[in-house]
Amino acid sequence: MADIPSSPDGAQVVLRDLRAIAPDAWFTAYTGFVAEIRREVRRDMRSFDPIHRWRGCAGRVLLRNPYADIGITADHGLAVVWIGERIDRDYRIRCEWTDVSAAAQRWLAGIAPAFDAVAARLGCTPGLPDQPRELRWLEAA
Amino acid sequence: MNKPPTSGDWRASALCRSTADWPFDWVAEITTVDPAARSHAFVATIRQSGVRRFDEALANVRAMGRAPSMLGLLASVAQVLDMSDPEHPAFADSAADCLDELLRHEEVLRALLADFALGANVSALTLAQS
Repeated sequence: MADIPSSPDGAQVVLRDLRAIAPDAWFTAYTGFVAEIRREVRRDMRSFDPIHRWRGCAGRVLLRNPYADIGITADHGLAVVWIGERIDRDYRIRCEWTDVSAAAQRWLAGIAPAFDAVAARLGCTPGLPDQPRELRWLEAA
Repeated sequence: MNKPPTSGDWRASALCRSTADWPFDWVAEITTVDPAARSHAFVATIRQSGVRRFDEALANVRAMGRAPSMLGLLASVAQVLDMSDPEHPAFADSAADCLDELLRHEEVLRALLADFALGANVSALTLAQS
């Protein structure tokens, strides 16, 4: 697949194909999918709270916990749902005082099967081919 | 500058306060939805002083969110002007054709003005000038 939307560097990603939806119905379907992600994630991963932020100009953060963001990037009719370590200002300040990043990476490795299970319920397919990565410094700027 | 604005249908979010206490800013966000490309992306955050009245700040956000539509409309009007210019390659020797072209954009124009409740004011201004 040539036009897979970008996702944050190092994030675990799954994909849902929304290309079959007609252009005039697409945004409604997308909004419904976003609500579905928030609902399903909070069923199994209760540390996440709904939030609305952007990482770069394409990555929309939907849920956040002390370590990670869960978000969606939608482009070319494909929706990439991802979970990755936080990069926001508050988190980076915490990282300056303690080694939060290592704990976050351990937690993300442990939670991966749960994220896969949620993704399966959402009708997403795991495992993507090589894809463009956003530059972290650009996202954080 | 010859780069067009970010493509797609621009949408302005609700206007919110940046903090619960004073001093705060009015904050809103513009995103773009492109149904053809089936994409949703971030365009800008608009931050205004909290001293500004809410309705004025809201009108500012709406104006910024509709900037690409306004630009498109201006381009259409310029095209009609070209059609009425005898020295322009697009010259159409017919006032009716020019008017038809202009009227094609009437709906978009009135919708834009209605968003700012300017329709009545513009009509009054036109009457005053005539």
